[in-house]
Amino acid sequence: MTVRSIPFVLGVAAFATALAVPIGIVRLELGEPAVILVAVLATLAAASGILARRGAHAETTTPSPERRLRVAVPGRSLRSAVDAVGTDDGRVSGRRRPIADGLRGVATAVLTRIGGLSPESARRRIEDGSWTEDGRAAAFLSESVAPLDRPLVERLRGRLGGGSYRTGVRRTVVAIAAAAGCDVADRLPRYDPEDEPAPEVRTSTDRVDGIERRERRSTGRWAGVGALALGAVGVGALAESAAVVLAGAVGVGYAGLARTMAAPTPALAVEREVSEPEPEPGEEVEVCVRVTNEGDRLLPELRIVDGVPAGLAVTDGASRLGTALRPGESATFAYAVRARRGRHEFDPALVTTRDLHRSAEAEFLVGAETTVVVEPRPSPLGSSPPFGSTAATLAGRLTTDDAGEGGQFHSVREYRRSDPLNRIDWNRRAKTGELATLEFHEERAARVLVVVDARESAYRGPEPGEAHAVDRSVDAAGRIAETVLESGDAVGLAAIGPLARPGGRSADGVCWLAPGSGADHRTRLRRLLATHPQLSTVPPEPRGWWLGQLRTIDGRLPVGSRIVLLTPLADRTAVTVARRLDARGHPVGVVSPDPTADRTCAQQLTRVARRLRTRELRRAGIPVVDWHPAESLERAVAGASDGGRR
Amino acid sequence: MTGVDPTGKPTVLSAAVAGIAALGAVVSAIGSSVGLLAGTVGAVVFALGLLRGWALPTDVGAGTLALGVLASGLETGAVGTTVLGTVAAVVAWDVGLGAIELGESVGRDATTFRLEGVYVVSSLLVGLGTATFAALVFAVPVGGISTATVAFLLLAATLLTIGLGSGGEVG
Repeated sequence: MTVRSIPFVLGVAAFATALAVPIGIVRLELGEPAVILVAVLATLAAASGILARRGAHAETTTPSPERRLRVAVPGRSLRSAVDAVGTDDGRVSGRRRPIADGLRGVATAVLTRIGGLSPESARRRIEDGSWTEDGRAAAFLSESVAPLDRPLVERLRGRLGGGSYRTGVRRTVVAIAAAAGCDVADRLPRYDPEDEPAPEVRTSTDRVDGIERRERRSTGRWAGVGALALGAVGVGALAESAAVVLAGAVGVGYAGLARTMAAPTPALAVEREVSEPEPEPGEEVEVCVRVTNEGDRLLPELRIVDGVPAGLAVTDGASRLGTALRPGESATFAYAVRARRGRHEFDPALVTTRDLHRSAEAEFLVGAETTVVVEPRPSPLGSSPPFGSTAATLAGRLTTDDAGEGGQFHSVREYRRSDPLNRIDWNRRAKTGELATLEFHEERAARVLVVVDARESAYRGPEPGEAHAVDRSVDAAGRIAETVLESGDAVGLAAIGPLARPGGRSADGVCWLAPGSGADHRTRLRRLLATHPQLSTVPPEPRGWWLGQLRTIDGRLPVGSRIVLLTPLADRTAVTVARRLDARGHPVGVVSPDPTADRTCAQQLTRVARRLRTRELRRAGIPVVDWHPAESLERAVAGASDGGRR
Repeated sequence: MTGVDPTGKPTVLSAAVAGIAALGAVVSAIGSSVGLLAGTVGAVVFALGLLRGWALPTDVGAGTLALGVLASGLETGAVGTTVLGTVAAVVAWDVGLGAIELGESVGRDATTFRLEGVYVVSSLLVGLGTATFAALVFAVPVGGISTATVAFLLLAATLLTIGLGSGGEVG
């Protein structure tokens, strides 16, 4: 017998006695104080019931798998954005006013590394306020500049509302961004970070085979009704109103039934069918889910949320169902998802059952393996491949020092019998009568390795729900590889980043395809780009294993190969990766999808930090194509080869 | 496109039934001005909560509505009307809350017709069954209720609700 059973048994006994008294089986005489005592007891129980009801509602939140995963926008907090530049620069120190000192460090970095000033003159210009035309920003960074240009009313308002400091930060951030050469909007960026409600988009990251119970809980739904009923019985008894006592008894009946029921454990089968397991990107795929009650009990309430993969979004219909199922009965629901690049495995369906009285519920995960593989067929770039016009051409043919076939003159040698007629030096034959053969510099196909930065920090985008930098990088990698293959050269693929995703299958090894060409090679490359777990559209856990992967790439890559590194340059490590690869004798070019936004101060500063990294790479002789989200890759490449306008 | 959002609004069928039941409860309180006033205010708050999918106003509104019915019963002493009014108020709250919860967890776009039918029928059956049982019990003593009976009934009600009301952990 449990503790809770004791009041239950006592209650049944009291109820029996109450019935026995009027019938005449038991004779009892009790005074009014006894009624009042019990009424007080009832009221106390009512109060505790109301307390138990509170909060019961807020406990359950359902995930939203119909949404696509959301990635963070770079620059979550002002402090971290300032620190990010500080880490890059290594000179931001002095923490009396952390933000103001930090901003001064950022301004110094911009003036020295982008403006080309010496550290001393940068400091002097910040001190005398001549680094910007905005007097307010100048005064914010220097105590020797008086903020005279501010009207008195504004100054008063600032002092009263605490807005002065914030406006100072906002104006300074804009001035720094302008000094760094960023496009600056008319409106000041917000000081406060953006609210980023990140709904849970996965039912579970666990892989489930069959049915797995996740949670069982009481809904606490009837406690309030029980409390009200007890109050009614108490008041009704005191007022000797049969109508009110009876009405209270109805409430007790509702509340009482709650105990007798429990949420059923379902014996369910979930089958999922997709209209096309290997659709084209952008195609709508219909998903049909069939749920069957395989047990021998009625399931009075069944709520199902299908585990739509994190990388896919529902575009039509509902991926949920609420129903009741008799034994052996089935229910179906259908919805459509839009296909996007990648190998998408469905998560288990989340099933919630309740008893008939809705007093208890239980959550289960029901596994049903379904996979959709979307393999894009990237089109080659309409223009030449990136870095094609620079001195270190990445694509096109490589001219070697060996003599042989080619277009560039190398030397003349004695004629041998098998030499082709078109290489005989006919001029010499006419002059001297001797046969000689022309030699040219031999040409070999260039070897290009496309490397995608897929570390956690690269999973960023200017809008939380839009394509993130890794999606764009993979897209660009495909197009660049096609362009290189079309020009008859060899292309390979590698990635830097964690090998597994939460709940996903783990890669057998790092993404690696040695430079090659031909139809088979192209197929393998497309397959890897679409499905290798390292290039998944779902972000990994933040972990840093990149150094070992870099060594592996370096060890496997043939000497003389060139590297196109696709990275959003979202952190300092990206710069280190590019420079290390470059330092090992592989000429590197960077294509960088821009993941930054400028809606808040922190985002604006992150953009400045990225610009500083871009500048650092260019100064080290590594060309960078800065690729804005609204721009086509062709345009970005053309813009960069026009002399690096960014 | 980041995906279709489940609307989060209460499901239509249950919400409609809950509205009708709340109206029925208001009608049952018509015999007393205080009861009618409380019932009407409660029903309006309840309807507002139901329309917006807010659980707290729904709870408070339905509670006020039930109090209105009870106040009317206290004044008029009409057993049948009060008991039926209470059943209507509880059904309104139960089905209404079901609509909100279903809207939150499954959404208005999903198929929920059958489940909502189960809500309505089960809620009505429990209320009417209990009411009939209680009416039968109270029909026995012809000469009115003695103090001892009231005391023991209260005690029974208290203990049973403590023992029963926390259910759901078993099974």
